[in-house]
Amino acid sequence: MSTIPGGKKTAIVKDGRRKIHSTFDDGTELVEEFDIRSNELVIRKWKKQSVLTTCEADWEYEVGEAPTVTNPLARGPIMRESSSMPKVVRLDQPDYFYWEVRNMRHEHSVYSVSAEDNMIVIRTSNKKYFKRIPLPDMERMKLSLNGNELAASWDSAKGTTYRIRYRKPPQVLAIEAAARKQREAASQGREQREGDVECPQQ
Amino acid sequence: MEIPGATETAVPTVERVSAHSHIRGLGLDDKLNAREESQGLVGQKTARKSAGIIVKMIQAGAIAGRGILIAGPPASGKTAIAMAISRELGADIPFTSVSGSEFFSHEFNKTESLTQSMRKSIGLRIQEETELVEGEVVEWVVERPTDGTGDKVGRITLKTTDMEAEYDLGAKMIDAMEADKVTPGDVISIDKASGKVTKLGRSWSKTRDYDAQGPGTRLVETPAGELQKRKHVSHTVNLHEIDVINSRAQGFMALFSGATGEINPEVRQSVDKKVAEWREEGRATIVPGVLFIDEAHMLDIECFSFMNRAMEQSTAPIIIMATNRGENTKIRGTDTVSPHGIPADMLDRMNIIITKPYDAADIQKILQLRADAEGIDSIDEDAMDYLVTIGTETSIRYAMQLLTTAHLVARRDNMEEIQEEHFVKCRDLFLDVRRSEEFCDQWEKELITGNTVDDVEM
Repeated sequence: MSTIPGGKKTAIVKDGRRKIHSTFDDGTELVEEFDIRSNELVIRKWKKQSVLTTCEADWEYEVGEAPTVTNPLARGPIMRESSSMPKVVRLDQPDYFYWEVRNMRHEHSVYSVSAEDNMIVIRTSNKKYFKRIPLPDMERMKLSLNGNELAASWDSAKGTTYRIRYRKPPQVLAIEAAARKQREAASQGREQREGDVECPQQ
Repeated sequence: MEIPGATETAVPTVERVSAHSHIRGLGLDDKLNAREESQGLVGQKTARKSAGIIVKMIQAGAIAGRGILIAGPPASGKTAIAMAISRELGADIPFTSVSGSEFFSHEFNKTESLTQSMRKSIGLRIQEETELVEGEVVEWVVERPTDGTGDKVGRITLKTTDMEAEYDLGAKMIDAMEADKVTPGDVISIDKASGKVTKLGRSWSKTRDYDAQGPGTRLVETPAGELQKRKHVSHTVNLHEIDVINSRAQGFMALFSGATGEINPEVRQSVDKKVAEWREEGRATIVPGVLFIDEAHMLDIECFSFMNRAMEQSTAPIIIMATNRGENTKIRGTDTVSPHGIPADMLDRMNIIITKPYDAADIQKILQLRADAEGIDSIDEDAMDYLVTIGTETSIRYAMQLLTTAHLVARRDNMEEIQEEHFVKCRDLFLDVRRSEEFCDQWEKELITGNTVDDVEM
């Protein structure tokens, strides 16, 4: 039901989403949430075990956005990016990997994207913004990037959101289709009730 | 605003230099023999050679929970040798330096103080993937709330050759930045998880703005690419730091223990458990370091008992103690006397190094070293001989103090070289211990002394 193999998996339907939780041997946790109706991936987040701290590390969002937290800096994180800085959020679509970069503040003409070293790189000609975006899905399948499948656009003429799309290659579409079929089968098998825990997979 | 009649005089700035800043190592050759004058140390060859052997033992990591005692009269180089040991060991081995009386505070109880000091001296070398923010500082500001309540917040703008970004800073981060005196143009590296700030150097592009830079400043290139990077870092943290990170991170519990600064023993237990796990998995290695306790005679019998047990653990640090107390010193907290004020069972665990008072030739060399360290360019030969005589008659420390004061007096007289008269003048102005004693004897009746309270006629 998930495109990521391995680990001990449990699935549950809650809040209109199917949530699949995987626990791996080294202590890493993975949570994937699929919208019940569209059957598409909404959130994928990881939690790695930190060596230094015995307490909980934070969730890292690969796909989707973390809920906004207003924690006072004094007792919370020591340092964080200013909220006025550009932020990259990945929100996939069925045929494309898709990112939105919000809060861009310079003229559209200074920005450019390219595929380098298996990552998407955003550059600015005025040297004000630079970002490398990895594609873990491609890395997991050992596929390399093709610049022709990369496209970028803006949300509006004077908009501040930069949109980047990369067409999913056939191999990725294949495993996603297989996972999607498994989820549909689980949904039709019995009536979906909130809070149902589905049989642990694998 | 002009003040009529006032003229400006330039006050010569004296840089604050610490007492042992000239020491860079033990000054031994390959066979561990001490050179006469090397790396800031002079004479005391036997003690230095012993210290050299100790250093080798520590570096081999073969010994844990051993004690070393450096004993000798005042101003015979005990602390200097301890400093030299720490320099020889290098930055990778934790070296914590405390004074015996520091364990007695109203803030923590003695066991907590001792535990913290011991855990500060045990390092853990780990490979970690951390998020680092590395870049050149463009500017940073701190906003303190005007009504005095609430926490201060800060903002910093960092840049690389490809981008610029702003970050919000928490209070702990602001303290770290202020302590390190981070200024625009510095190239810094911040570990997001631990909040550690490391100055990598100053940016090349900023060298035009500043002419005066400290001798230790390195010029580096502004980094390229992204500000925030994931890097595999191998670093050494000490157990106390891990304790603090974990007790701080426990959210509202930190509010309670944070106020006293004491660390919950449960936190320590869970840290110890984790550390044992990581060592088994091969993710981390323990690096036992050194805890140096100066003025060890200030420790009391409870402290010694605690340390006896602590030293028996396999991960205990090496404990180096120094004292100038001799035979028949009372062990603090008891009426028993013991050599150096240290109980016999503790003395048994320790390798003892003796330091002897310096002779005239050694004193001259040491004074010359201090003069260099304090930036004193030249001293007249006769003046130096005079100073050495003072050093042998009173103590090296007194002679060192005369150095700084005489330097100022010479400058005031617009002379480059310190002359004998400057030392004479300062000697008159500032008393040494013996003359101070004589003064007290002479003026006994006028001075208030504890002993004669009962005799005072009402």
